[in-house]
Amino acid sequence: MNADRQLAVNEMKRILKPDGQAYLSLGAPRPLGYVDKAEWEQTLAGFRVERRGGSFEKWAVVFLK
Amino acid sequence: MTAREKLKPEHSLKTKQGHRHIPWNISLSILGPFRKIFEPSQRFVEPYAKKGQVVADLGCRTGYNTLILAESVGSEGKVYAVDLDKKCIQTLEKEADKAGYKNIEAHATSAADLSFIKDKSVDFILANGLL
Repeated sequence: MNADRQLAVNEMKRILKPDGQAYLSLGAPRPLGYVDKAEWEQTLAGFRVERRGGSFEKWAVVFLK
Repeated sequence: MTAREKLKPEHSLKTKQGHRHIPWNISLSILGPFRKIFEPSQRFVEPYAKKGQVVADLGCRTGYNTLILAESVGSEGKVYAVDLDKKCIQTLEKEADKAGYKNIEAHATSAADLSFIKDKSVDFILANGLL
């Protein structure tokens, strides 16, 4: 994962309350965006996923683990 | 040097630090009218942001969702709005001022450094299109 995106995800985890939630989505799919499927899955693996979009919809509502 | 590399930084989609950058005027004028159709606030703002909560809009652009969040949390709540683009933040501050929202704290910075927000203090994060 790109270092800057990893830092942003870490900051989200730091500021979120234990019972807080976050809506995450990608700006654009590849090749316009930077996040591929593997990185998206890796990002979501760091959270407890409540809901998420299908294969072509890269969004998710997540909680802290 | 390719034609893309010759573009001025403010017209490039990528900054020197590698952040994606959409010029504020494109964000405001082109995307604005269509956002209500393609990004209904009912989908990712209204179900999550409640009165009195502290929320963060990361990658807020010109504040389309920030203003909806500010309305949802009310005067008791607070909205942190973060975007790399200073012009976007200036536009957001102007719009928030015009609409009378005093509960928005806007910062022109990267989401990789949110040091102005305390640990475990935010109820809801909206990171729509941030990654």
